[in-house]
Amino acid sequence: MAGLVELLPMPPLPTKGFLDALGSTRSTLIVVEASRVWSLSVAASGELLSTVATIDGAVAATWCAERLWISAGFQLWSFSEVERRSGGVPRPSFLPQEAFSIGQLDVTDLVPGGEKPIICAALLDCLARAHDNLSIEPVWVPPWIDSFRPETRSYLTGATVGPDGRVVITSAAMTTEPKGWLPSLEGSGVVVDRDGSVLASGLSLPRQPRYVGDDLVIIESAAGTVRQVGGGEVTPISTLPGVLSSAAALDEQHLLVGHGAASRATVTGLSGGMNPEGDALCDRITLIAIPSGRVVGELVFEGYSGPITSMTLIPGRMGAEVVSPAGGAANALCAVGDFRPLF
Amino acid sequence: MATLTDAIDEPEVRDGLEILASEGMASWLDEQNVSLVFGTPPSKMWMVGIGGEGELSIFDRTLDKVMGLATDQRGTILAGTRFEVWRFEDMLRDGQTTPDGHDRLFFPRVVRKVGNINIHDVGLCADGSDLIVNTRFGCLASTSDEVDFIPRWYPPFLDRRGQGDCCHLNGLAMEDGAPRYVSCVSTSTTVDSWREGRRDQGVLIDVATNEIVARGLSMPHSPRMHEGGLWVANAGTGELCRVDPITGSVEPVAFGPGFLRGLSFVGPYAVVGSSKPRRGDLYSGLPLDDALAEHGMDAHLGIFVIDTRTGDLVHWLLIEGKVRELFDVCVLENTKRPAFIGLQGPEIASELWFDDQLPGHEALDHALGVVR
Repeated sequence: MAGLVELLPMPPLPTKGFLDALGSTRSTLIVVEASRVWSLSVAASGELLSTVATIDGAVAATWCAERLWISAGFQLWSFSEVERRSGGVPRPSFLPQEAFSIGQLDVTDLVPGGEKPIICAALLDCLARAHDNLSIEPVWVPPWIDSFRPETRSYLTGATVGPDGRVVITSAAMTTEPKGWLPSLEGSGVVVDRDGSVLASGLSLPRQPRYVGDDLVIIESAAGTVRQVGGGEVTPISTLPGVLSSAAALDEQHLLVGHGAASRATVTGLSGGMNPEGDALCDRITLIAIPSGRVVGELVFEGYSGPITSMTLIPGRMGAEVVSPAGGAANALCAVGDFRPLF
Repeated sequence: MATLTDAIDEPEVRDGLEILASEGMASWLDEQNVSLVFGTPPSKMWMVGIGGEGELSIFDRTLDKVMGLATDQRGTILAGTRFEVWRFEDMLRDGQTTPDGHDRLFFPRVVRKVGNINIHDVGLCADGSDLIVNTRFGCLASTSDEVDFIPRWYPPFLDRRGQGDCCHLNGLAMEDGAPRYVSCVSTSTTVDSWREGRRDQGVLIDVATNEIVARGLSMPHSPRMHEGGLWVANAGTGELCRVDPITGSVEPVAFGPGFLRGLSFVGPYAVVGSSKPRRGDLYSGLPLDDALAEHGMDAHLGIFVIDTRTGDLVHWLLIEGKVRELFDVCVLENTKRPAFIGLQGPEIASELWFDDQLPGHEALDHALGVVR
């Protein structure tokens, strides 16, 4: 009789330094990796807790207005928290509740906003948010863009909001030519603020700017470099192997950087960072201290995997899980609200 | 009065389903300046209007088990499906048409998951919010962006507050954007016992007063308010009925050959959905069986247009093939040739709709929730 084997993604492997740092946050780390959404946290026993949900086309995630938001395919989903008992133990579960049809915008980042996240829409070179009656409501365009055309001119790659409310955006180039960012990928990237002031230039595909405490940090995908931006200077603080594909602040001192093989990157043909001899270069998340750049820990995704395109923390929730909108569990689980009389 | 044999010459065939219509159906839609939207579970939603040559224009897409439908006639359609409630918005401005001549283009803008609650009728309230009939939990409910549903009203006889279909609450009549009446197959209070009351224990209930305003109905569905009057599809008898909620009298106005369910109005005309019972299923063993035999007719799946002044079945549209249910039908006023974007084609990803004015400085502040 033939044996039946259920093929599940291999759980990622953490170093002790990674476990200690993630455990100290008492939070769940959400990692979006090629249509897989991992929920990772550290049990009281010190072990890594991991669950994975398959969400077709998932590329970006963020925590906003006490909900998890995931951009997947043509939709922006919000996931609301319910407590689900598993083996008698309560665990926070995030159920898909509402989705907006935003279209295929080439979402490169989601940024916590007011009630909904802000979408970094590379296809239209704008920041936008989901709308009830339209695909999106554009809320910001870089000063060099004078009209909307669905042709990815400068390739906006990320945005963040600082502790002082400053909005910072990364772009692969400052061009108005259709797909103009592609020929000038190396050395044309910029970091700008909402007024269009250039904070840093000459970068190779900068991506997903993040504040770690008060420090503004960007990852330079095509160079494999993590840089600190401030005081008119752009300081390299770390170089990691492969193409850097995502970033998230773990706490006020540490940055998570997702990186992996250039051949699996969203944009291929990049040289990426150093590739130490003998390194199989699995996709991985490296945790570095800011501003020293010291590597504190690693999380390695073994076997086949795809680019890690987004990471976000669900603060204060350990052992959280995400339920896929497409799975049977989402339809079998029913979160019933409190009775609210009609009259 | 039309007979069910005077079809137009050329039936439409789509995915193995054959669509036949009475000779006057297209011109009736044209004269009334309306189109129809309906679903045939398990997988289709349809829009029927007229084309440029006065012919029927039939548009269909895949959508999972379309149940209740509602429109505010201002560009929004609400569709309850197997596990979700979809809100479609018309993307065209007045007078605008698509390159292929559609004068409405409904886009599935927002979906809310409600889970496996056996959703039936849906309603749009005056403030734009929704109400859904949650048959599995026996309540009217609102969808939410935080939970699957919020219970809003329970039948007065039902003391259970959990899952389990006791009375088969299924229909919702809205009036001026507010809930007015609901239909239940019985007043049973134990799970699944409504099945025993299918022949004659159906009721209509006033949602505001909790009063039962009509009794003795056979699997009533789709209560509707029209020009101040209360109507119901008494599915188990195959009759469209006018109801006096003061006296409780139920007056059959017309017979339609099928399990009548789904109801909408155009002036004096009722547009009624019809499903096919099958021996041994939930819709058989009802007075409808005898009525069909008496009329010498088979049950049909489709839409009947009934002149409520005479009770005559004046037009019809039938669907032949491996489907047998139709849950609801909705009239789109001032619409000649509607279309909608499905969930499986490329358009839902590639068609982008947004205000092409460049945003001002305040737009980002607003999005960030910053007050300056």
